[in-house]
Amino acid sequence: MIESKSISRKIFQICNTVILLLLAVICVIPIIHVVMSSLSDPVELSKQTGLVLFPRKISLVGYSEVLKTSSIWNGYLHTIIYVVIQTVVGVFFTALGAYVLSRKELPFKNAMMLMITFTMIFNGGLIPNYMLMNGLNLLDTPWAVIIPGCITPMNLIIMRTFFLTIPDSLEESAKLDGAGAWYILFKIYLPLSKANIAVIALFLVVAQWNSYFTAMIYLQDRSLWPLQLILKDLITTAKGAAVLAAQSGGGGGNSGMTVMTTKVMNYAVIVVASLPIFCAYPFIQKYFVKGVMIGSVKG
Amino acid sequence: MKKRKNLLKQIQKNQAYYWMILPVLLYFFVFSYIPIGGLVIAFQDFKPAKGILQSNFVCLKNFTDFFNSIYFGRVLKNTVVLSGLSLLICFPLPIIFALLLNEIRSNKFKKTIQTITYMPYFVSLVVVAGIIIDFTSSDGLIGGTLMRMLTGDKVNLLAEAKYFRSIMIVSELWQSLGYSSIIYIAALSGVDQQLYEAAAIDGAGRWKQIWNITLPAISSTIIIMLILKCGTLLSIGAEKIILIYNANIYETADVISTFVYRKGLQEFNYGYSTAVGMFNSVINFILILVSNRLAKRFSDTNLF
Repeated sequence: MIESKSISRKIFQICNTVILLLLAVICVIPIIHVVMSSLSDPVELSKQTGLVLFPRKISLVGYSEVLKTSSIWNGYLHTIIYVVIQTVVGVFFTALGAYVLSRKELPFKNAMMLMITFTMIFNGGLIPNYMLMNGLNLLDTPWAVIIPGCITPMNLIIMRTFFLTIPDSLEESAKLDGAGAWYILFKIYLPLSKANIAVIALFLVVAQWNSYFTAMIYLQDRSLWPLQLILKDLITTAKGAAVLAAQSGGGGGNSGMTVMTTKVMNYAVIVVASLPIFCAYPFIQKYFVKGVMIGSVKG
Repeated sequence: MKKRKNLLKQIQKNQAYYWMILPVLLYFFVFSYIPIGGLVIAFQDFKPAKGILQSNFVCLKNFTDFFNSIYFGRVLKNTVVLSGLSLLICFPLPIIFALLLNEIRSNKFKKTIQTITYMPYFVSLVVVAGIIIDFTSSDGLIGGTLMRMLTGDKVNLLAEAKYFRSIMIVSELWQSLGYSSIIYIAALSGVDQQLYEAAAIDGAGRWKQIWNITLPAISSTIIIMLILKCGTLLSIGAEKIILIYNANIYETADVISTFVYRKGLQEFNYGYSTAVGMFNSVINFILILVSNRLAKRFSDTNLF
């Protein structure tokens, strides 16, 4: 009896391990395919269909084309500018708001909380937001991308939940020493909240780095486009590819951009655009998991 | 009277707090509440040249136009079907995944699997769209190699309406399976190991243990996540779909939010587009309130 149980248990363990391994493989295969294709020779790659698990005749043509393309560098620069400004401003104001909302017995606190959380479940939608941006003359300015999503109700809630775990006694003793609200927040609460600040900052960084939609709606001016929008243009429209071909083909001295080169170049842009996030991945993963946990306590 | 004085005193005492939160409240007022006020154009024959104040009011004409149009049934059906499928498939699988992972004893293996399966969540939508377009094209892995094996013919899957829903669900699953399981894995790790030992001594087999210990331990998490997911039943965003759909497959791919996007920002039909968007927001609002009320009934946890 016990013997048969342990055998069936072993079989289950083996099957389970295989299933999980298979799932992990399915998760990485598309990523490997893209990376390996980006390292392939355009002509060799075009002869080949299906999965690319190792480079077809290693070549860096894709990357050298990308390096020559000014609009990709410009997009990179703008993405970095948007990410940095939004993260710094966002973390600062989220900390301010969350600190106040974590105070006990503050008159109108619940009303303020309601005002903020209500925006999570009801909003004006696409056109009224567009008209507002237009009315404020923010269209085709960097602010159109930086402002939306800078302070989010979810980030406020996560930060507030964390502040609530800091013992009141710390604040009370500081108050007895004559410390004001600003001093307590910046000298006592924030130094204790480094991990939490990292969670909020990384939420903002990843969201902004990966977003294209806001930029697509609010920015007509190509010189302001973030990387993801340039990539979107390249992948989904023929025009996007043509613009890039004109830029990189000119200085290259090769026989111009062929369809095959464009394809390899697409892969290379994808890799270049995702690289920073994946370099920081172990770090990001750790804090995102933490954020999900804090969020789920209240959400 | 005394109460009022007290309140004033309280406010005075706490005034630093109000200065601190003022910019945050202003932010939400300007960028969330003013657009809500802008919904008024849903009831107007809005002309950008005339502005909100001068455009004519047309009552509910924009709404009735939408309800009577041939698009209404199509976009509503597509929205409901896509989120329904997502509820049926993308909701339970992360739970099963968490349960399978929980059976693994080696911590190192567990961590590795988690690290790898969370990864696709951090791939941007544009890149996901790029991979989808690549894989489903007639010489891609799925559209070419796999379809030729299965049917003998290469197919460009994104050109045919019947494949669109599968593409959406599979790609959603790829991106979110691991990440959505985090919350269940956390709940499972909180289960007291002694319970399992006690059950084993009582002669309970593995399945019995899962059924009687593991599942009850995470059932409240499951119920809340399920109810909250039901609240989002009509809120599929346009971000992913507009990257991969085309006019040939609107029949299955066009949802409310993509319709709003096309009518508003591509055809500049502001009043009509706003009305369709508002119809969607109001239904979402009701669904979320109802589902949240239900979540409250099942446990202390709720969103607001």
